[in-house]
Amino acid sequence: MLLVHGAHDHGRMWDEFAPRFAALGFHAVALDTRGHGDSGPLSSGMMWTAATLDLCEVARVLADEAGARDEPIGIIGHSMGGGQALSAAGTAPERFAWVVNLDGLGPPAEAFPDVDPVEGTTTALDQIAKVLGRAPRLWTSRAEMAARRGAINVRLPQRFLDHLVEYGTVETGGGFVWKTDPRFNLGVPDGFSIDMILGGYGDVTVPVLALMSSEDDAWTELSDAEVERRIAALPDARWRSVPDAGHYVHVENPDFVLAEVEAFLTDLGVLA
Amino acid sequence: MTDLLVVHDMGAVGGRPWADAFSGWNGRVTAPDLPGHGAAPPPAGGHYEVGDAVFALVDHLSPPAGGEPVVVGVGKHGLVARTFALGGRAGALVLVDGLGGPWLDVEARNASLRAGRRALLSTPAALAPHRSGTTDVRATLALGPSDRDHEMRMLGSVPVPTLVVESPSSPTPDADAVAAAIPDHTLVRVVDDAAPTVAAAVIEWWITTRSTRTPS
Repeated sequence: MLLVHGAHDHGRMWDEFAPRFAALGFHAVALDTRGHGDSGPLSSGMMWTAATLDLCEVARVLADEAGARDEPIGIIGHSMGGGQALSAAGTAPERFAWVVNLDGLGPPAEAFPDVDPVEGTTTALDQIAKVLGRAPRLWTSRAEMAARRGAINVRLPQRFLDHLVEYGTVETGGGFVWKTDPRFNLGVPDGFSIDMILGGYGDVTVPVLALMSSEDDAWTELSDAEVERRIAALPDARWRSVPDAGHYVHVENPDFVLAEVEAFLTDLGVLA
Repeated sequence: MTDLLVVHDMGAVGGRPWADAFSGWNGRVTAPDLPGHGAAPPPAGGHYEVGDAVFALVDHLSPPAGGEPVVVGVGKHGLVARTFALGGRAGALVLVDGLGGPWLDVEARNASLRAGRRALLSTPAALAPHRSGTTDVRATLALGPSDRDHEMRMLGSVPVPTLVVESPSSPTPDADAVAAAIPDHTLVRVVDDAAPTVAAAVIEWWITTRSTRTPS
């Protein structure tokens, strides 16, 4: 199975969880998606399609290397990685047997405001020029970086923040910088919409389990009704709310998540 | 003198034909090879986005002494030129077969994007390392089709004089109606999309535009 992290994270975020999948008999592989961790830089911030193609190709290579050429593999993605997992499965369903999506059914409709074209484009170009024209922000210590991230994802335990920073940053001249490419998420208005997300879901014909947050948190913004609407757009999907968990459901309630994944895969006949 | 920036088409040979064609332009002409085209190295990874061109050209758009440049966008990269015009980086805009299209609804657009992604995955040359000095085969694949409502909304906000050049190769089925959304536009039809043909039309329009709008 392939494990896909979320935005601004990296593959080492699965260090606690991957061994538990391995204990079920899986070969669990976590990657750094493009522009993140130790993967290469981005050519522009608009990288969704390229990231989707990456997952499709990694799935093919993993199957080949396991001596199972052309056999589909499983994929678990968190947050943005969950969305990319759905996108990959919709693109190449012959390469994926099932998808587990961890709180990654996309942003709410409010994330796509009806911005004035001139204002929105000017702001976007100004941001691009600003990022391209300066060096990445230099931090004085990893503790400072962990504190900053902890102020955003307030429910994340300190050990997880420390782990994120340990592998998600690099020491450079006089300080530390995030490995995530600063160009990530920069783009220009392109007409992307919720309808495009839901339309793409229709191509995801493999079974999907979505495990969604139950507590208020950063990057957790979908109501149950909206989750239901998005699940309905997936041809073969089910979902559960993870109790006592914010956006990082697998970090905050790993036992529940693992039990649900195990039940899902047993139901599919993947596990005995 | 006004600078001119040409954003060549996705999948074209590069910017050189445009630089040659605009040799008669009264000002500095910039027609760079975009990533993966001509002599320019490809973008990182296996896919081309409009954003690649935007990122590559931002440095060319620092306000010159003579004011914002005339930005020419060809074909799919008309969208890039339009972006610069909307974002205050162009004094005038030229769209060469660059209005967008063919128009598809959400369902058909998703199907087309998916087909493009699958084409990339099933084309050996698209998965192999790019050979330098040639236009990357990947640039000819996975081109996202246009959303007419979105394009009409964006074009309707273009704040600068705009020349729409339409050739028989245009992908826009209803160019007259779409061009009419641009507040200050002129539409000309040319017999072909060859760079010299287009450049002649652009220079003629610019001379006319300048003579009628610049106080003597």
